[in-house]
Amino acid sequence: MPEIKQAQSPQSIPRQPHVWAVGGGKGGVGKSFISANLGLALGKQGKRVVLVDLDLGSANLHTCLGMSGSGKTLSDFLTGEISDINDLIHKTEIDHVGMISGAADNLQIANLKYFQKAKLLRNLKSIDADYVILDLGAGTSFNTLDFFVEADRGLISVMPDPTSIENTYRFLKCVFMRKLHSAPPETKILMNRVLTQRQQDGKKTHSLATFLSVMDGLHPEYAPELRDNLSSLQLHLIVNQVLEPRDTELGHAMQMTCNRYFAANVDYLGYLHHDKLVLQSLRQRSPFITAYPQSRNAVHIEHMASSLMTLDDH
Amino acid sequence: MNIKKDDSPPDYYTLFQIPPEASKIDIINAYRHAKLAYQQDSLAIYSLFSEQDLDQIHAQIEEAYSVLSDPIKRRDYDALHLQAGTNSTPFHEAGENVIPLHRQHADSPGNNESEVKSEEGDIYSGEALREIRETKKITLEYIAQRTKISKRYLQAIEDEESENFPETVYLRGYLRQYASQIGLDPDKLVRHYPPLSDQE
Repeated sequence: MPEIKQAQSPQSIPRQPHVWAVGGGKGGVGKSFISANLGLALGKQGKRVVLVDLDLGSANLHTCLGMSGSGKTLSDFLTGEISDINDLIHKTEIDHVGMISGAADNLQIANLKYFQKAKLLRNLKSIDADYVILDLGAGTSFNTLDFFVEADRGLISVMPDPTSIENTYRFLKCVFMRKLHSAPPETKILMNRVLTQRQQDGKKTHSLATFLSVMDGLHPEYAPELRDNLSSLQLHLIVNQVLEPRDTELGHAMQMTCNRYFAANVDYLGYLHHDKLVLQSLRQRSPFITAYPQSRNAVHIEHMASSLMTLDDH
Repeated sequence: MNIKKDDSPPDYYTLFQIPPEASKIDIINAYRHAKLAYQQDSLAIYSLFSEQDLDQIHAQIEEAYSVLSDPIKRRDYDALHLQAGTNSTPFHEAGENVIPLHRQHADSPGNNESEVKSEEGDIYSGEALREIRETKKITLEYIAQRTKISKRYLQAIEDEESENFPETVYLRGYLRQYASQIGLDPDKLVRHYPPLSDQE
């Protein structure tokens, strides 16, 4: 992809891109929309960006970018037909922004073999860009979780409705458990027992915070390491499709409840409005942020991109 | 496995997600956010907490606000909490109001090397714990009520009566909850509580 390579200064030292993963427990909460438009917002600020569609079962990132989805895809890389992942990058209508398509792939991300996942994870860091944004599929399969956990930042899209919130918490619980998958077997057994055992009222299972406090009591020598491991996750919530003013408070509230339940920090990045212009831009086959650059959602997305860039720069 | 939940409240600043230097306005706003986050019809609590959890959290929010919104209570809380929980400075360096009485004597001229070596053990001895608790005007009955730990065990902790201790794994848990109630760092208390140190 010439635009990306030309944007690199000859004096610049090659370095690995920042990898952001956009995930969530539920389909239809705007993961592809957010991935595409965050990437375009970064591109508008001069960053070299590659968006990767890892929702292999139902890929539609290309649609949010106003593209057709034809051409080389991740399958070509995973089967060895293409050896350099950078050769999969398709141009978008914004300079410096490219996309790697998962469209038309028969592969389900959940069914990726271990070596395929390892190959992809390894090569994501060799993509020639400042930022790589992963658009993940819904669900909590190990493969999806691994891409999310291994990214430098995890962005979670949630909508202000109970089903989305319930799935978001389930997703987060799986993320945290997956993050601790390298813990000693005894610790993992204990974690599973605590997190699956119901409280005395028989309705709710115990929280991750309870597991950590049990670890504090039983194995105080290991507990700090577990906490450090969980704290290393950089997680950001985006509340999508808000309708009422009070919906905008959901992110603050979830930040607080996550802190309590998971004993971990989940940052509230911002919110996006329910806006019929989003549907309109999809029908026009035009990326939202370029079709409606003055809209309030475009402003919010650009602000989110700037906030995350600032965090990465420090 | 019977899981004993840690019913001790998180520190007030963590509960409200504000820094210790938070202004009065920050505290008022954080209190409002916490009330909204945990109110019965809040979306954010959906599927996460039981009724019992929420009752406890509501009580903790009110308690935290009652302390942080009162300059005197907040100052006392900070004096103990900030020294005990958020940095490595031993709390006996915090100021006179939190120095256990017997430590003041130990710091007097004539303090020998063996006393210095046993400093941590002295700070977290049962006797010192009682002094701190009494300085804060917290009764054992209050701690028993808040933590659901039998007063008999709490008394044994302060008296260092090992024959009346529960099993070690429970003792560690009880010490943590006790420490939280009187504003000490739970990790440090478990690490330096003399009867446990003697076992190790």
